[in-house]
Amino acid sequence: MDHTQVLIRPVVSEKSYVLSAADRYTFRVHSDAHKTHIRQAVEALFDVHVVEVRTMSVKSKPKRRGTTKGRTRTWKKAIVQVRAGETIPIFQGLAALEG
Amino acid sequence: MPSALKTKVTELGDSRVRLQVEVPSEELEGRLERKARQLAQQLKLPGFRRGKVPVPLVIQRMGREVVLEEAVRETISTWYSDAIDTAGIVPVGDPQLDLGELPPRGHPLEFSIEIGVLPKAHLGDYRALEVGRREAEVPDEQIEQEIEAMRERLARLETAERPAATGDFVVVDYVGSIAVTGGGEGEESWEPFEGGEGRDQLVELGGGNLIPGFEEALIGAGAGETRTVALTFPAEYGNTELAGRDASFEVTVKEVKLKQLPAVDEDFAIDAGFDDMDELRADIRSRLLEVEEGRVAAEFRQAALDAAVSAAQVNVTPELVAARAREMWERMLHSLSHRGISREAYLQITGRPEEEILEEMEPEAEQALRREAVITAVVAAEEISPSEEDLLEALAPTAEREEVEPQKLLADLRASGRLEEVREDLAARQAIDLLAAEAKPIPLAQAQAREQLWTPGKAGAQQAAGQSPAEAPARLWTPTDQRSTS
Repeated sequence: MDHTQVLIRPVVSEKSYVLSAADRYTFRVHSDAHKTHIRQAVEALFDVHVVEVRTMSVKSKPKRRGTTKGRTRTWKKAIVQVRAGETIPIFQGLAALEG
Repeated sequence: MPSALKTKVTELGDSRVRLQVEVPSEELEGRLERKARQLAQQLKLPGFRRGKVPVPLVIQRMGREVVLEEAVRETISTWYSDAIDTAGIVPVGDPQLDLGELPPRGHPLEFSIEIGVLPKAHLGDYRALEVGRREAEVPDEQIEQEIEAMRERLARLETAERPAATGDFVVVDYVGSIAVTGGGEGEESWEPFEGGEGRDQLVELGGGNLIPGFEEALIGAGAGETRTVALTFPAEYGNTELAGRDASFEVTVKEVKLKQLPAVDEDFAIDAGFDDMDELRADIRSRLLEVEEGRVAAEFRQAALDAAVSAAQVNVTPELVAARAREMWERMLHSLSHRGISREAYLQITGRPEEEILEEMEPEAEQALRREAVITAVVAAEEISPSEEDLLEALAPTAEREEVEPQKLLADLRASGRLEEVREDLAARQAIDLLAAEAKPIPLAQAQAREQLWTPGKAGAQQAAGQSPAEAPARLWTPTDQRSTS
């Protein structure tokens, strides 16, 4: 699996913004990616040193709108702690991400 | 707010200056952040609740220039007045603002303002002025007038056994009805109307308080007599129901009363709390004299200031005068609006175009400018700087009115930054005090004679100074002339 396939996109949210102050960056990652994969991908793509990777599966939630029933996708979230002082610009270029 | 602005004043001549202002980057960043926080309330960004978008993200999302421009537009007026305070200039007229490029991060913002300022006065000899001073005196007629007014106040109504004449009072009952046009052609019937009835009303014949014709119709009526008064309500009568209608009043005169003025004698004086008439007269005289002396003193201060103005050279440009006239006009409109008179209404009342009024205000505006310039120059020359005690003393009446301690008022003013204004006003007053104290009073007639004698010389001097040969009329204090409050 290619590094760009491992890291799908950064997670931009209030929570991830707060975490970024503590050098922890949040990504949506491939469901089959494991911590070593993620570490390697982050180090290669962003030129930082990863101290720790924590992953979790975000469970599917039932969603309903009117009579239409559905579920959200399950996905894997990874919170990557980098070496103190190093940064990953996940909050920059927001405009591009949104479009 | 602590003013961290850096200012540089460049004289442009003709009483105009260019004020270059530099807003330090810290101040600018602070404003930027505040504006961003404000914008965040509206901004919706996925992943964030409304209003919770962090400031850096707002700036990044909306673009630094956009946020900065908003922030600057909002704050420029504050900076403007701060800059004027810092530079210590007195602006006249509308400023011309030239906003430069918005600076990149970490750089100060620069902008420049071009504005008319109060011209600098070159003071003449302002210490040994000779100023006409009117003698405070109370003519005997004025005292008699006062006594007449007192008699009016103490007058008693006494029943008179004779027909009523003009100046008498009558006690009447009346029932009024108005003409109602009936169904048939020209048929009229009379109907009582609301409020058309009265009992035991006191009417002064010739007092002019009632509908025209009513009082006159009762002249010659004796007690017990009943008269029918036919009249027409005036077209502009307050009650529109009645305005312009024909009416008929059944009036019964119950009593004719005569206004009895008390005789001017010892009893009269005793009633007023004095031993005899001489004492009463003396008291009235001293009271009137006091008022008169206050007036004379105020006039003298004004005259002293005007003399100093005449002795000084002030270069007032027409643009400046026009600008000040406009300011005065705006201020007047503002005070009128408090009384519910709009600009349009006022123009309609006076029936004159705005330009004409403005032009008419110009001489006054010019004199006001000259006075202010001279006062400022005197304050500077004498290094007048009101002390804390002076300020407290000056604030005492206001403090009393608002029922606070003068010290507290002082502290409040200082906190709100308005203390400087008060201090300046007080300095101006002290400057006029100084002028008046140093001036040598001469009889008014002598001063007027001299003025006439000196006219050619003065006109020459003024022309040499490039001024319009405007006379300096000894104008009294006017409400629009705030600085020379005496």
